[in-house]
Amino acid sequence: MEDIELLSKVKAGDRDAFNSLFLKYYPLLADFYRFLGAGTDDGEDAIADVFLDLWLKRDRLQVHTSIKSYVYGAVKNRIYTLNGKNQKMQVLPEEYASEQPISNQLHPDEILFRKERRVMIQRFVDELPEQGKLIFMMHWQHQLEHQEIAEILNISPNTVKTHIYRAINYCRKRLLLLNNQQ
Amino acid sequence: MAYMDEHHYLLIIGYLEGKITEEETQYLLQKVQTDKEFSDAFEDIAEIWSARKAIPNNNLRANDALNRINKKIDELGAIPDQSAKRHSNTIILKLRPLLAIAASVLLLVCSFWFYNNRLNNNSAGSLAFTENRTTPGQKKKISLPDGTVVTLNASSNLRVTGNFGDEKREVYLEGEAFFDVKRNPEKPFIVHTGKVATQVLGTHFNVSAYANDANITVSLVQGKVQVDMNNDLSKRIILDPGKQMTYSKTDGQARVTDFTTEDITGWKENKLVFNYDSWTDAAKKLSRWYGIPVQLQDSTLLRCKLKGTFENIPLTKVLGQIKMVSDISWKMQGNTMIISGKCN
Repeated sequence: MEDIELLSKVKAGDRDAFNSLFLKYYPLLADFYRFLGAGTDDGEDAIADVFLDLWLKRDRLQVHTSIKSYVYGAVKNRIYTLNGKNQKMQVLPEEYASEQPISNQLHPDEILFRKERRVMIQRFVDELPEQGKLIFMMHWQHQLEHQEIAEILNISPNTVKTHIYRAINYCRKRLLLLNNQQ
Repeated sequence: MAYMDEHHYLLIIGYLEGKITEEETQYLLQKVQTDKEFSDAFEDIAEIWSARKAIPNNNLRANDALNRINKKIDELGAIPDQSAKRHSNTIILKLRPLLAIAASVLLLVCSFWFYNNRLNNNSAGSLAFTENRTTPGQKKKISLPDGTVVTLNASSNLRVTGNFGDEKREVYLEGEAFFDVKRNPEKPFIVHTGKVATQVLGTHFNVSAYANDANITVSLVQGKVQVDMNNDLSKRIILDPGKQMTYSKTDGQARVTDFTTEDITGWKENKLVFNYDSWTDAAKKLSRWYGIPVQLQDSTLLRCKLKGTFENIPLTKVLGQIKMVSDISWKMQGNTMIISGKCN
């Protein structure tokens, strides 16, 4: 069932629709709180709170872009509040991300696994600066649209695009180094 | 490595995610073939894109978490501070946890069955096929392990590879089927029909490829599909919704035309549709639909075309209705229906 249909059923008080919505987004949100840096207890609490809230306030619920960006945004807000972070994401100066130094040295274990390019690429993404990584993961792994990411993180869609662009450039640079060493 | 601009990067990603328009796709394919820098970037990004991890799906934990929330909701609902109307609500709500438990047990049973089934399939060897056949007059709905639903028209055969879903999702079709493919950008879904391969990420489309028909037709209802012929990349066609590709088996040429969804997918709703079909094609359709051989006696009939929709009625009634507009007659000879007449 499409989200929009589920949402209207939830608004009408359909518990089964609510359960389906939860089961659909739970795995995604469980992955999401982990890369927001929350531990299991905080993360699970955040998800439970968001859905409990969603059910209790279902009559008054306002969804702007999609239910997907609504639940992601709500989980993020709870975790940021918990960690005392500013609700609005700090955006780094323009030149920061692309000027990250890249290490040419591969660790011995990396050399062992360098054929495993898949694993290497996942590691490159891990090396991205915090915000770039978060935005890239949201797009790359969670398949959120630019607009949805912008709404969840309270930033402009153009900033989202720039971060994705930089993340890919970074991964390509690292891939190139990998190729040259082989 | 030279840096390309943001727009081109996002275009490549859009392509990989199946989210760009036909024009953008054409532009991109053109650029891949002519611009070395661009095609390098394309390769890199495709590799980066395919390296993403699948998000783990822990059913047990999800159900646990859901049960806890449902318990909380029920507790909140049970607070006796409201009117009698609320009272009747709480009774219903109190019954819910039982249902939730029943549902999670069912889920568990299903996943166990599914897991088991997969194991069995795998042990049968990855080259094995699962065959799904329909007899003349029969239709069948097939659910594939990835959530894709295939509706198989009469006299058709769908073979599913034993390693379906491992890396790609590949099926082999003879006859006609409507595909409702579950979206998964990491595992393309490919329908093989003779020399034509139709590849999609997730969408609705119809493929008609009967061995005794002159054409193979791919009609796209929603999304985007990529059609390859004879493995020749230069002939690749990307279809937009509402377009269909007709590949002629005789001359190997393909052409793209518009179509009306009803004309193509009517068969799913038990509607027998002729869309300016020649009598030759119509006879084949009738024969598949009603499960008896149909022959044409007069060559003059071959010059006419038929247009019309028949909803769930017997063969003789269909012919009766055609007779009202066209001068035809018919008789049974043994088990074969013989149609004769001429165009009006």
